[in-house]
Amino acid sequence: MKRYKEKVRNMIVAVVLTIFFSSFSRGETPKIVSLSPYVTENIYLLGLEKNIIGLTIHDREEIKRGKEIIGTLLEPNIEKIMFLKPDIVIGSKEGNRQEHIEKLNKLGIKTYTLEELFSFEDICKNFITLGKILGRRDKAEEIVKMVKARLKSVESAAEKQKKKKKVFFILGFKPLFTTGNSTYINEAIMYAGGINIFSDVNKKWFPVGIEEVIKRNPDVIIFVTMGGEEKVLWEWLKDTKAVRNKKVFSIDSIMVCSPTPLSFVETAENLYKFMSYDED
Amino acid sequence: MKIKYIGIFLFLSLSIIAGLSLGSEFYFIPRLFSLSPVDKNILLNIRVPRVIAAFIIGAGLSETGAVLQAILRNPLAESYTLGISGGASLGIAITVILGKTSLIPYFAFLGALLSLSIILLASVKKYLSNPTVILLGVALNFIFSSIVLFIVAVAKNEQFHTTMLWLIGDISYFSYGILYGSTITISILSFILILSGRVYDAISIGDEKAISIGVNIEKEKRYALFVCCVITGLCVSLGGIIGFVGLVIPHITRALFGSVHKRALMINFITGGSFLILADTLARTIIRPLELPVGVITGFFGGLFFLSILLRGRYPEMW
Amino acid sequence: MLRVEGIYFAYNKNDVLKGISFEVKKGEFLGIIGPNGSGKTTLLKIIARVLNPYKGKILFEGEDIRKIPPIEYAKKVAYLPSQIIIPFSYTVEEFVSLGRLPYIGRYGEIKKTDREIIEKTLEQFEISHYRKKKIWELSDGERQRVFISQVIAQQSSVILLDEPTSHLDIGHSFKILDIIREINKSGTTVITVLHDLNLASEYCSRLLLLSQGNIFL
Repeated sequence: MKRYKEKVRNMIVAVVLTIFFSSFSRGETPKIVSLSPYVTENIYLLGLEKNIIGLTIHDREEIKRGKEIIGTLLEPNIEKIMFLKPDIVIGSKEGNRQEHIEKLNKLGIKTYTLEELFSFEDICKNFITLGKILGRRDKAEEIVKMVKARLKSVESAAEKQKKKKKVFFILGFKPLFTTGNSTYINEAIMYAGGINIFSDVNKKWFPVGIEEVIKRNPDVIIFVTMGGEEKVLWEWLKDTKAVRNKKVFSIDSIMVCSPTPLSFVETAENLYKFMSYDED
Repeated sequence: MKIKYIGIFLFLSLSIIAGLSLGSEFYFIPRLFSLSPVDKNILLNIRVPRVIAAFIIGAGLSETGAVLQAILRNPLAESYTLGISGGASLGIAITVILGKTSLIPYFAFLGALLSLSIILLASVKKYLSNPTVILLGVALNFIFSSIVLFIVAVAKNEQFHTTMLWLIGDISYFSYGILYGSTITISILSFILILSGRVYDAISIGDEKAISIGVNIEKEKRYALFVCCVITGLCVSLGGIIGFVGLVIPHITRALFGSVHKRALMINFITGGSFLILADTLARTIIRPLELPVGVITGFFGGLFFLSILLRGRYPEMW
Repeated sequence: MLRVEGIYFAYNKNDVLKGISFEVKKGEFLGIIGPNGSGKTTLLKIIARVLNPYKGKILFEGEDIRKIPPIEYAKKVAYLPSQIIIPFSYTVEEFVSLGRLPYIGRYGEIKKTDREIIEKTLEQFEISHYRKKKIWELSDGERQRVFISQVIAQQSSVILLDEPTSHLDIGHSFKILDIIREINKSGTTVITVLHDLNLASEYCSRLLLLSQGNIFL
């Protein structure tokens, strides 16, 4: 009797899942246009990279192959998007302008806008929502669960450190751009056992004066590789603990600028590696 | 009468003191006797070069502004008017897109020279008549601006910020080599301009009058344009496109010290330099720890200055 | 002293001056008269080397003027255009001093002799007490006196005046022309364009009539 009940239950679940999975009228292959690399990377993580028919010029070369370029982050080509007849166009408040999305709506195209990111939780929320609308909710939740578990181990490893390292994070050199306390990067630093020297500033990203950095004397400096490093910067920072102890590390820009739950925890793990040294 | 000169000297001293002592740390007299190595690093490696850079850029742009105003007989002339800054910004935008930001200063300089070559080439056809030069400059500016905006539109996010900063004017980074080379060059060239002040007096009262008193106007104009172009190119390669300084400082100097160019150019050098030191100091301290680009400050005060002229209605300089 | 030989000039396709030839002797007070558009100002500009004729030449004491360096020529010939626009706030003294440029040179300083000449000229035109005033603060008549005194301060052998009295009332016109006559008497050759025939015949020792690009008289 029990086995019979299980079987029926499984069948019902299967039917419900199938209906749920076919939330797209055409079923398994919704055609997606992505309006930013951030959106693209998250779709990629969901395993739906092949469903993307159009994306921006800023995306990675490997992903762009075989797909149409629909413009830039700031100026997507509405006509070209329409011509591609996508099932859904996905943008985000991280960089895309609302006017474009509204215009697409008016022209009858289905759109969705991911919310602005202030924290790791926001990254996860966006990711799961993306999973929901693209019929991969389960996979999304699975990934988030796995990521959170990994994050916990980073956290506990980081707690074992004797001292929290002071971190200066450089997003850009000219102007010298760093992060305040309202970003996921700030959070990643915290998970990794560090403290952002500008966590007292209630901003997301902002340009900072070099003197302030020297004054706050970071233990570790992390910068995003983007080409065009300014050598004179290291000359100016030579008296900081970070430069003196050679604790200066670079990190990939994709991880930072187009965050997914997975890349977040990978970043946190990398940051932990940089910061898990013992001071003498 | 001597009071005015003392005033200028005081202005200069105050600016230098402000520029060196204000920032994330306040270095005033008592503190100067107990400097830690970190303080010394900040003062010598960061503030001193920055003050020098601000001074030489302000001085250079004021000099070229004044000379251009004389040559074009137009009190609203400046490096922008001739499209020189537009060419420089094109050079900047190209390097940023190519991803070779370390080459920005060189391309900015080349861009400025490109603008000049266009103007000189055009003037070979007919002799440099002022309305032609001004219109040509405006046209060049429009063309260059649209190219720049196009490049900016396709730029990646990170490059976008950097480009915008160069286009607004910012003195947070420069290489020491370029700083020293520019300081020497701009000083020498400005000195030459100052010495030639009488020639600019002559040209400013009309081409015909200038010819009458023995000035070879074609040669002098081309020469002056070339020098102004080099100075502007160097200023742009140090600090990007900083607007209004070349426009406003010559006006203030003329109002206080008269229009004779030898004297005015000397004063412009000092006043322009001091002004930019102050503007830059303000830019980096007003919303600490955030840093504003200096172009924001000069733009703001430049705009205010012109509004005040308009409102007062007293603008006898416009014949 | 000055010989004009076969000057042709055109602004566009049409000739404004058609083969003008004449001679000016030292110490003459020559008046150039004629209807509007006859090329009087153009002729003066060519002698001043502001414009270049496409045919013909001018000899100053036997020398082709195109071969004379600008500074040297400035000591020989001074030119006053009919209109001067000054975009900056020069004082009377500063403006008149510019007339000494050919002698001071590019980099030089105003010397004692220059100062004396400037002083004398200011007095001659009765504008000494205006010396520190800005030019745009003066009336038309006063300004014209300043312009002419700059020309006189240049101490050239020949002065070219284009309509020196056109902004002035009759009283001032006489005053200025009287001073110019004095200067002419002390040896300076004067070539002037005048539209008022009465003034022209009163002051000039000789008249040149220019009409449709041709010379008469």
